[in-house]
Amino acid sequence: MSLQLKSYKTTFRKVFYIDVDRCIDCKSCEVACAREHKSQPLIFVQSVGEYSVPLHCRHCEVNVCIEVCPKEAIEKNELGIVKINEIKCIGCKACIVACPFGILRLDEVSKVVVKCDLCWERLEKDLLPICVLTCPTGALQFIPCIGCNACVAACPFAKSTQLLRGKEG
Amino acid sequence: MEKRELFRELIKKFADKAPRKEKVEIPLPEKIEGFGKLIFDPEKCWGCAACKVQCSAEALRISENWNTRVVTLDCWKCVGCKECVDTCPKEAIRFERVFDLQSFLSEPLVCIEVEVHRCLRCGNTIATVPELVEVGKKGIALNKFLTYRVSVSSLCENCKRELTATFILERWIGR
Repeated sequence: MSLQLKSYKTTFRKVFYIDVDRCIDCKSCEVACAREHKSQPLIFVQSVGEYSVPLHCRHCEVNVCIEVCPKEAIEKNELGIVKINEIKCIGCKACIVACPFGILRLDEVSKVVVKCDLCWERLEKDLLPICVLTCPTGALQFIPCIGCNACVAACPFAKSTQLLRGKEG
Repeated sequence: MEKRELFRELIKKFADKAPRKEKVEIPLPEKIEGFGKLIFDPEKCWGCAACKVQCSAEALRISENWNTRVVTLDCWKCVGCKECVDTCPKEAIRFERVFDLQSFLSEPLVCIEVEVHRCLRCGNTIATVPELVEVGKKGIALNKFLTYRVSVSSLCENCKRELTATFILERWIGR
């Protein structure tokens, strides 16, 4: 697992793959995430019945959070990673309202909204995102995207985002 | 804050003895910092509470009833750092370099009162109505959970996460 960022940039976009069967609700990813970012956890393990599903930022193609932000504090870089500029962010929570997945949260201490940034600092050092590295069962994987579009089919908002895209032209 | 409290008590004693005028506003001399008057524009205000989040003097406070959010200002606590003025996304706050005796001595002033929208599922506060309208203008209203037919802007973030997880799980099991 070397050259994470290079492969992220050039050959295949690497994506998160969640194996729901393997998640054992141990929340190690949450702890590791909080430790790495020195804030509240940016990944959530949501339990539904007997199962639990790890949820994180999807880094969507059409970003409602970027459109909604009044201070233009949310940026998407050339790798498709959506990041929050902590200097510009004022904590108005407009993005929290807009995010369809509800993974943004306000950090009361630093007074800005925090979100998953795909551990881009680690990616630059050719390391895996900390949650993937920590996961003991392999429920979280960081694998090259083969473009099967299964994620689009599974997205609860696929139709609406397509509508949005059509609106933009 | 203790010094400021003492100062307020002192001024209060003076004001009790002196005959009250309608309005006492003294423009601040250049050298004096740390006082000022904040003026809110209720027509522009979103009620997003970003000013409260950024206020380091804890002069701005927020209380919530079932359907309204009230922003109150303890005028005597305001140190005139203008953090809220720079923060406000709608430029609804104005700062004046005056010493306003009435508001300095008065109880917390109610600056803004806005309607609040609550989560359809659990009843937690999501946002204020003006903020939701503003967000809705930018196309978020289109974003609906297709299977549940609930608009995401009517759910709080916890419920959004729950529904997303349920959705993913349904797809996972039915695959």
